[in-house]
Amino acid sequence: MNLPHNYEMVIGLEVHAQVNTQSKLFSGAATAFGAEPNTQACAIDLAMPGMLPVLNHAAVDAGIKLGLAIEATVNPVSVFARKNYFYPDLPKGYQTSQYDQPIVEHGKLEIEVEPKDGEPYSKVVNITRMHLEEDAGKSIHADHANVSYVDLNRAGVPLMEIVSEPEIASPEEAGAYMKKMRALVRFLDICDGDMEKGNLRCDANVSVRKKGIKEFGTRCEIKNLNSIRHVMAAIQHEAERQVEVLEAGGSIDQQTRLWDPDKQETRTLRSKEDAHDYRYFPCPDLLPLRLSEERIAKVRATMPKLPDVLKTELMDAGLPAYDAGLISGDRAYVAYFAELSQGRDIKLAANWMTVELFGALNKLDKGLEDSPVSAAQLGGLVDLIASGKISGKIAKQVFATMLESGKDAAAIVAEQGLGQISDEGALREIVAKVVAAMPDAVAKYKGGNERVFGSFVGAVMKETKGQANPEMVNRLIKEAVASR
Amino acid sequence: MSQIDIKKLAFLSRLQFSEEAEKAFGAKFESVMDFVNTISEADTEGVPPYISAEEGTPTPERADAVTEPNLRDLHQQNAPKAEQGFYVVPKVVE
Repeated sequence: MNLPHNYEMVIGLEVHAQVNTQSKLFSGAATAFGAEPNTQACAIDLAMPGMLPVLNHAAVDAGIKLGLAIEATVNPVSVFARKNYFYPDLPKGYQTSQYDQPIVEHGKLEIEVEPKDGEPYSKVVNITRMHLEEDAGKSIHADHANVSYVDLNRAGVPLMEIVSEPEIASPEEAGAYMKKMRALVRFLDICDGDMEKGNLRCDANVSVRKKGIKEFGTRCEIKNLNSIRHVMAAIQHEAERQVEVLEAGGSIDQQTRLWDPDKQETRTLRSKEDAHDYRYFPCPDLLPLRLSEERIAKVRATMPKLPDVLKTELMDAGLPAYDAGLISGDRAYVAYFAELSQGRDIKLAANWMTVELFGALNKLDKGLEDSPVSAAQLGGLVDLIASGKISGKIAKQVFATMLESGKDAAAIVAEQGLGQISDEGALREIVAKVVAAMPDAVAKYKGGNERVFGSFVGAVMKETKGQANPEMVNRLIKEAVASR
Repeated sequence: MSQIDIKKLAFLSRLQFSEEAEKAFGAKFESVMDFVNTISEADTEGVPPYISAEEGTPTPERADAVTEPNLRDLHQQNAPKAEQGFYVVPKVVE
């Protein structure tokens, strides 16, 4: 079901991105995924008496990187605050977060949207703020017994909470925003961006209003969105639910709702009446975080060229937008392509990478990092094509062997005798023989039937096992036919 | 003096009061608040918020390295109950 045409959605997203540090935000405990319960929770994470937090330098640098990448203000002074609530997976009784003075404010992200119906378009979504905070632990509730099991390995893991302005207008835009954000944090190598492992999570604030009305409707916050598909589906269902309530003459209660992917619906988690009262105040255990211009400049100097910039450069160099977008979107792709295209025809190189190599890796269910063919090896193949030593058709055959054997293209061509016949004298003899054996076709061709030309080419290729240089074959056939 | 919602404060602090204790605590708390509120008589126009005594000193930072070993068994000796590596607590479901 689509929303009635007189309604529109207003969506704001809160993304929690886990910083991929080795140790926690305020302690030296490990952050490795999948460890045995509570083996990575030290005295600081457990809030043992007298323990004091010490800030992780790398987590701060990650925050600066993201701030610079979204063209935001990186605040010279930011303050850690305590967000107080009671829950068994929060040993201190508060989460150390940032409140009224976050590390990053006023950023933006340009997204490319592909709506269900209509033309693709791009749009800038403003980002209100990003702050650093620690994650809580994990509770597992037993079905049989009246107890919960608590694993505090995740307690204290550094998170970046990225809050967008309520400027997202459809599930497709929300999906595009999530994809772009995930690609960006991965590209910056500050977050693994794996939603299934929970290191990228999303809460969505959704409201609806009649078109033409300026005021926002009452919003509901949806939690537990652990894939982009879920984000999109939950927003759609929640907006439909709200319109239904309003159309029936009801009003929306401000609520926190939970997405149930099995039932494809949202349900109430808590209403405004029992919303948390977090009683934020500056954390007395941590001094304000002060960032000098020198430090920010130093971080900036370590940052790679960003995908949007690279994409424009590749398009300027002649690549189609799709290829440019694909290659620039991933740091490993960028490195591979830089080596592959160095000193070579950029379009030919891009084509072999995005069509042949990616197609093959897809079939093998492998990522580029596990590619059996290195950039230098694929470059070798591209060189053989560009210099006319092998045809495009033979190249595909050579490439298949490269994938299986890991050998270099030139070695395979030499071993299997696949080199293109570019010896004009030898080829002229073969062409002469073929043309002499096809007098009917010659007559037809001379009579104006140009379509028979292909049968000469086919016969020459058959004679040379497909190894003849096609351009040379075309020229020699024309000469041979003309001379008869 | 503003009305203090003792019931809400008790809920947020996870404390339970009897009726009488609530009344007695309420009166005490009002007097504490009156005392603390003296501070609002000071003129703070144009004074920036006070965050820490170490004005200008940045918070110390540590390099990103794992320095804390696994001391689960030791830590879990402090827990009323632990099972299969988990801390066990009364069931809490939101």
